[in-house]
Amino acid sequence: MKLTMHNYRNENDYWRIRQFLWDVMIANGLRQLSWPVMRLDYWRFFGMINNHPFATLPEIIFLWETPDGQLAAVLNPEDPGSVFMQVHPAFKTKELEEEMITTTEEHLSVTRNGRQKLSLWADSQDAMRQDILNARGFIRGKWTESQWRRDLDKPIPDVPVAVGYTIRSLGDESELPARSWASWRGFHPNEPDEKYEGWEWYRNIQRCPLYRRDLDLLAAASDGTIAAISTFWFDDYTRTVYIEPVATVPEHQRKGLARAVITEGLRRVQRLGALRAFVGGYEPGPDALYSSTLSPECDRSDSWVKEW
Amino acid sequence: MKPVQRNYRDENDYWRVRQFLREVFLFNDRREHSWHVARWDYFYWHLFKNCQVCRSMEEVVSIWETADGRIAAVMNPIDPNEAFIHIHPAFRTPELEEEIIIHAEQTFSNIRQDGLRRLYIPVDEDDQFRKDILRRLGYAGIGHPGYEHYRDLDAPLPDAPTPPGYTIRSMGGLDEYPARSWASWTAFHPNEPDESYEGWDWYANIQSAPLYRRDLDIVAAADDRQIASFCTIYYDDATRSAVCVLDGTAAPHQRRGLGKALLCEGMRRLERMGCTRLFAKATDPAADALYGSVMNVREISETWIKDYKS
Repeated sequence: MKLTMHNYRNENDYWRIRQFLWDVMIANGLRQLSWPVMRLDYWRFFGMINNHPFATLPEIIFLWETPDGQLAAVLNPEDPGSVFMQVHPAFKTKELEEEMITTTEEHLSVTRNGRQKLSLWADSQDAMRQDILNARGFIRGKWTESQWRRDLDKPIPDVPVAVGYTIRSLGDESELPARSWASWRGFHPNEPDEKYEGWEWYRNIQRCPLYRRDLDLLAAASDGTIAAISTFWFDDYTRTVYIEPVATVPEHQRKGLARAVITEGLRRVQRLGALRAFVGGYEPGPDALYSSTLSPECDRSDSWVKEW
Repeated sequence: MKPVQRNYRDENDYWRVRQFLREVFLFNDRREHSWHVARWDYFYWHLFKNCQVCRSMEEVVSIWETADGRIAAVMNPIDPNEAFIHIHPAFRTPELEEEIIIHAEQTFSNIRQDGLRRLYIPVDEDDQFRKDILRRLGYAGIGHPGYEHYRDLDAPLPDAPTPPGYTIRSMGGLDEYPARSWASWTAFHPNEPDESYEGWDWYANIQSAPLYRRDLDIVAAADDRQIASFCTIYYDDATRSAVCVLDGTAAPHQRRGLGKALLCEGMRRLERMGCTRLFAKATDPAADALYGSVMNVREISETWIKDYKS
C-alpha cells in the first residue's frame, strides 16, 4: 500500500498520534517497540517546553498515512539529533523503514564541529532496521535503553520503608517547589545550586493528559524534606503504566527509598487495573534497581549513530 | 450476524465495556446516545461499589456479542428498575433493541406492593427508533426527564468570579476525605438527620476510577476551611471529552455562585489538558439551570415506563 508522508500539521495530529501509539502498543502485545503514549506526552508537555525547546512540532514530526487516512508510522526526535521511529507492525516494510531513515538524515540531524550527527534508536531484536542502518553507515552507539517490565497479575511484595520516612502522594501546589528541588538534587547532584532554574516547569508535568497526583509519589523525611520521587503514568486505554522519573536525593540514597516508592506505586496501579508496568534505565545502578523491583524481563532499544 | 446475550463475567468485561463505550461514543460523533466511559466508571465505582444498586455485576449487566467476540450492546441498571441500553449503531436493529428491552424486563425490575413490576427506560427525546419499540412493547413516556448539557471548549470560557470568602482549589489528600464526604452529605441529603451519615470511606472508590485525577476534583473551601462546594470531573483523554460526575454545594453555602465558579475552573483546567467537550447531566431544575448557565447545548432524555405482571 502506498503511504504518503506529511509534516505534523496541527493539534489534531497530536491527538491522532496518541491514538496511533495506543494501537501500536496493543498490536505489539504491550511491548515498547514504539513509544508509549505517556512518553509522547512527557516529551511534548515537558521536554519540548522546558528541557529542549529546540524546534516547533511541525518542523520535527513526520507522519506516514494510508490513502484512507490511517496512520502507519510517525518519526520524531526526543532530543536534537536523537530520533525515534514509531511504526505500526501491520505497515512495517523495508521500504517504509528506509524512507523514514532517509527523512531522518535529511531533516533531523544536528551539526556539531562542522559535521552532521544523528542517533537513531532500534530494538535489539529488530534485524530489519539494524540491517538498514548498517547498510547506510550507522554504527552501534554507546547508549542502550533497558525497557524493564513487570506484569501485575500477582501480589506485590512488601518492602519496608526506612525508619523516619513516609511514602505518600505529592501535595498541592505549595509542595511543587520542594518536589522540583528534589528533582534537581536527584538528577544534578554535582551541579552548583546557582544553576537551578525554579519549579514552574512542574506545572507542565501536571498538564499531561495521563497525570494523576495520587500516582505522583514521594518519600518524605521526618522533617518534611522530599527525599525520593517516582511518578507513575497509568494509561487506562492499554492498561499499562510507565514509571518516569525515579530519583533519590543524594543525602538519602542507599536506604531503599526508591524501591519503597516504586513498590507503593505498583500497588496503587494494580488496584486501578493496570496489567503491566514499564520503566526505562540507561545505567547499571538504575538497571539493577529496576530489574530487581520490576522483573528481569526487558526489551532493549539501542542507539545507532552516524556522522558525515 | 446476530449478537448473542450473555451475562457480565469478570473484571475483563469491565475493561472491554469501557473500550466499547469509547468506540460507540466516537461513532456517534461524541454525543451521549450511549454512555460516556466516565459514566460507566462512575456506575461501577460509585453506584455499584458504594451505593450497591445491585448485588453483583454478573447478575444485572448483560452483554450482546457477535460470533467473533465483538461487543454489540450492553445493558445495565442504575436503579434496580431502570435499564440503560448502550448499543453500537452498526448493530442497531429493531430485533436487537426489542430483545434487550424484554431481557431487561425479565432481569431486574422490582415487584411493587400491588404485585406489578415497573421498569424505567431512558430514551433520547429525538430517538423515534427506540420510542417506536417502547410503544409497541407497552411503554409510555411519562417518567421524569433528564437534561443532558454539554459545551465545546473551543470558544472563550465564561467568567465566573469566586465569591468573597472562598478559595477554589484541588481536593487535598487523605486527611481531607472526611470534609469532602461531609460536603457531599449536606449537599445531597439536606433533609436527613446527621445520624444517617455513614462516613467517608466511600470516597476512596470515587478516586479508584481509572479516569480520576485529583486536580479535576475541585472544591471551594470557605474561610474556616470547610468544603462548601465540590465538582468532580472525569476526563477521558482517548475521546478528549469529560463528564462532571459529581457536583454539589453544601446547604449553607448555596446560591452564591460557587457551583458555577467550580465548573468554570474545571473547564479552564480541562482546556489546558486538551479536552474539547464537557458533559453534565441534570435531573432537577437547580442543576439544569446551573449547567445551562455555562453550557450551550441541552438535550432532553425522557424516561419511558411500563407496569406489568410478572
